[in-house]
Amino acid sequence: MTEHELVVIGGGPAGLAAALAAWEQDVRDILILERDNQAGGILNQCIHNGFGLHRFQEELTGPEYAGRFIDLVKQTDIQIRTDTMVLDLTRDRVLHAVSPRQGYEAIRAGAVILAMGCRERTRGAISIPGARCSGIFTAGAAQRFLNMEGYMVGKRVVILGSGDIGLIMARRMTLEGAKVLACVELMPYSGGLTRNIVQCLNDFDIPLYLSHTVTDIRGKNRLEQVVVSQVDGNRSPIPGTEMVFDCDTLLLSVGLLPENELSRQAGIEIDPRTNGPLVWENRETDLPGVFACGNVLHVHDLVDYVSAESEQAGIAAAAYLHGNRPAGGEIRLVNGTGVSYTVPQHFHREAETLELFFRVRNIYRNAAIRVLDGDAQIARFKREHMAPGEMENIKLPKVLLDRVRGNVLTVEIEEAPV
Amino acid sequence: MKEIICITCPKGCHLKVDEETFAVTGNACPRGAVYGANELRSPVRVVTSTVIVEDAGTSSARPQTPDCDSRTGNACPCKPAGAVLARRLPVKTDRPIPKGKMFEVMAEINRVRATPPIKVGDVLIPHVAGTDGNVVATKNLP
Amino acid sequence: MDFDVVIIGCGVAGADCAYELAKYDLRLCVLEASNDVANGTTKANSAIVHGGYDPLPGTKMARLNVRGTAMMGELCRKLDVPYRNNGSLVLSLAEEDDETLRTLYAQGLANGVPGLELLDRERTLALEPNLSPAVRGALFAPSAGIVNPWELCLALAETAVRNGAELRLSAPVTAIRRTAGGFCLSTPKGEVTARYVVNCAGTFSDRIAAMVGDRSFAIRPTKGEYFLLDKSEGTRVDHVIFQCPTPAGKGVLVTPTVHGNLLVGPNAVPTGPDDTANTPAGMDYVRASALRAVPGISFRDNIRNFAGVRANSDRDDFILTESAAAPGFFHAAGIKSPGLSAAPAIGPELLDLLEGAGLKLKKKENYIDSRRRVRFHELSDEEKNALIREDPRWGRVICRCETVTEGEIVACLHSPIPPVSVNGVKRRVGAGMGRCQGGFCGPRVQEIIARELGMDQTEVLMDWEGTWVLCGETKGGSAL
Repeated sequence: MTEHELVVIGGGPAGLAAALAAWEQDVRDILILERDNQAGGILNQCIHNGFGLHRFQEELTGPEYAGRFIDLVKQTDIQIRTDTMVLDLTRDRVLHAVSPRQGYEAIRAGAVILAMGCRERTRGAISIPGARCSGIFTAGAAQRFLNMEGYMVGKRVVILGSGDIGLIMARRMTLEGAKVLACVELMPYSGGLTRNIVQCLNDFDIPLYLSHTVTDIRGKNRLEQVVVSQVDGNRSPIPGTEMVFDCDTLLLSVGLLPENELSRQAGIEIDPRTNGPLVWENRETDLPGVFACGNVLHVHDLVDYVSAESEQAGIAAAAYLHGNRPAGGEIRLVNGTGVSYTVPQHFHREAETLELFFRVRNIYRNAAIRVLDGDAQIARFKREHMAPGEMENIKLPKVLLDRVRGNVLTVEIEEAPV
Repeated sequence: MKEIICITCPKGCHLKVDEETFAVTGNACPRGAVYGANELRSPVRVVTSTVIVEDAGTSSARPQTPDCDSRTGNACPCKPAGAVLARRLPVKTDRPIPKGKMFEVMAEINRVRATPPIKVGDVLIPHVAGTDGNVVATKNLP
Repeated sequence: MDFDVVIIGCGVAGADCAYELAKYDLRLCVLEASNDVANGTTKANSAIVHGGYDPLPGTKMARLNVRGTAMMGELCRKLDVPYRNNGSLVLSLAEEDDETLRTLYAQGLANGVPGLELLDRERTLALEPNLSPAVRGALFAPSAGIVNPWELCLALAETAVRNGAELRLSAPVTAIRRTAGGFCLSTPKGEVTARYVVNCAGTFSDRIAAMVGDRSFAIRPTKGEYFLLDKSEGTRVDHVIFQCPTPAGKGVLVTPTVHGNLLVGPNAVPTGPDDTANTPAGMDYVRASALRAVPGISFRDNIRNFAGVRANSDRDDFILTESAAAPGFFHAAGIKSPGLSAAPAIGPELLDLLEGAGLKLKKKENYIDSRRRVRFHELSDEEKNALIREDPRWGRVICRCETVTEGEIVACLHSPIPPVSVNGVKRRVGAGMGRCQGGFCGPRVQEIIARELGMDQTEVLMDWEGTWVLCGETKGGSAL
């Protein structure tokens, strides 16, 4: 068994940022384990621009954003081991990993940062009916084929789901010569960023069908047709509203799920709302010395926030290794009206500024975010616009936290009077 | 009047822009007025794509890399499965180009070949499609 | 004559016939319409080894089910096929079900099903605490189990091939002619002559029979739809859980699979011989029915739906006989449920029929009756390391969800029946069977197939002929 001070599982944007932050806190023995054959994670296939506006104040593509972090890592003694799959994590922080060069090995870690990212929801996850023909891809798989391998997955395309990857792929496929016939969204609003609706759909006159879904897939061998129907308020298809599209490809952009199989194996408590570990304000899980950040913790919209969160986890892991533990009792965060989850889910009473990330359940205009200590409002933040597709965040300064009496804080949305 | 959605911030104001005077209504802030007018006067976009890497070969005939560097995460020597010697290099226009020229730009991008070694920012096509934008690499290719 | 015996169809019935016949000095050929074995009913069913109390006493189904189930454990051990003898429960959920259970119990005794027991509510719930509180009791069949049906078929076919049988894939039989002392079968890959023919063509077996003028039976294809749930749901039940059968079928069952997932289904709807589409009505019915027996199933954790077509026929029993219209032509047709359970006994049954018709059987001297497949994730740490030292590809995990390494994929691509599609690899080593459904590993599996089989990646199929995945390269062509 080998030993390392800090082992980071995952060499994507989260893992790279976390490792760098720990390095800057004087942790000198850091090992990143990456399952793919290069560092950078999903950014390697996200060749579009729009990354880094917060972090670097300029618009970068995915590979450029990843490249900046990889260059920074190269200037340190942080080790990245690629082609290495972690198969098991024990409660006493022993990792079992396998790779072509090292074989099967056990690694004992002083601290562990979970940065495994997320995976796409599939056709099965939403039980789309219809034939079992070829031509149905998750948007991310198609993106890998197109951007990294250099292959086209089809010529006439329908996209289900208006999440950002689906929108981005609508533009990419169009620019590569495919005809994108429609983007179909179950909800009455898009799950993607407005700029992507404009630049990826509107620019190419691709229609967006809100409150619609795919109700049949036809094709004996390869996909030949998809049937799209309008849905009612309960998201049930309305008979008689069917539209038939002749196409050879259906791309699915129907949501992302944090990949927490390792966390579950280690018995780490998972929040069913985020599908990620339940964490403290320093991104420590309920297993001491094990931290989580990035999309494995909760699905982000912007990589800039992934980097910021991961730096927090890296700093916290360094503090843990240096023997510094957060002080104060537990204050839990409760999701009030209109809030679907918060990260972190709880924090220590002595915490410095608490930055809270969460998602709302609906589209809100001119609403407010309220933070309640029992019945008493301790903070209120006005928002002109909020949507489930856009992660919200608020900061609660120490002076405010010091005034909290109870051990539960509620975060809720106050709708504007109609 | 042309209706467009403002993409300056996540709010997504529905703007109405006069096609002759470029006067904007429906904007909640001054940035919206600027965006609306520009979007009608001369809309521009950054184009991102990939170019063929010379000599990368097809998947079945891909050469194996002789050495590896664990620190940079580059390929491992032993009969790799993944796209080790990349078949495509990601690129972008280094500034927004006129929206109407996107497909012209793509046609030029599709014709060019990249020969390693290449560094981020290396110019592959200067003044693409007669614009003042250059097509540059967005990834290192050693 | 090219062959002594030609078998049409390489599903589990055809494969078992091939496996049994390959034990003898015969010139043997298997013609399969699809580009892979196990690509029809065999790959899409409940994967259950039934106790044998369902079929009416005196039927071939009853006899071969009980016999096949008894043979299954040893066969799977020999050929390294995942199998678990976890037992089954038929639940009583209403008063009228009690009577059905007693009938099934009596049938089971008459059929010779070992160890059958009628359990009361307490014992039933003690075995399966997640059952509906409405459960009143159950019929327990300890001999029942679960198996990997396509690997069983593959293992049988591989063993036959290793013992000299010839397998021709993508060779659908389009016409059959009588010749002096035998038959001549036309396929797109040329003609094949044989003294004897065995029709194991599944949902197409009536069409094959008609080619020799035999219209004595008709296949009534019946679709069944399923949910396959994540391994997180795989321990929801431990036994195979049935509800009381109805005339339409054995009803919706809930069972763990040998891979550790939870399988729920099927319904039963008449359809065409290759209609494997899922329908909203079918899926709703299956979901609602299953929840009556096991209310806690989390369908949020579904990873795949699929549908299979049963080769039901207009007969009440398996059709295992020599054709009256064409002597020397044999049917293993109408192999509906419990066909998979009966499969190990179908080959020997056909062998007897062929011998009775004059086929001379002489045992092979060096018959190989074993098979081993390395499953990386099941090895000890030392074994894993030894393999990786020998070939580093065993250390590269390609399918993250099921921990399948490049070594396993490469090995299957050089096995006696190499796959030619992404799903062919999936059926052999499990890559892409997990929760991400090949989202991550699909492109890499394609690349390995192309590399190992020396083809262009754009030629690699998802599954059967025509299921193309890639339509070309970006930038209008190859980099070469």
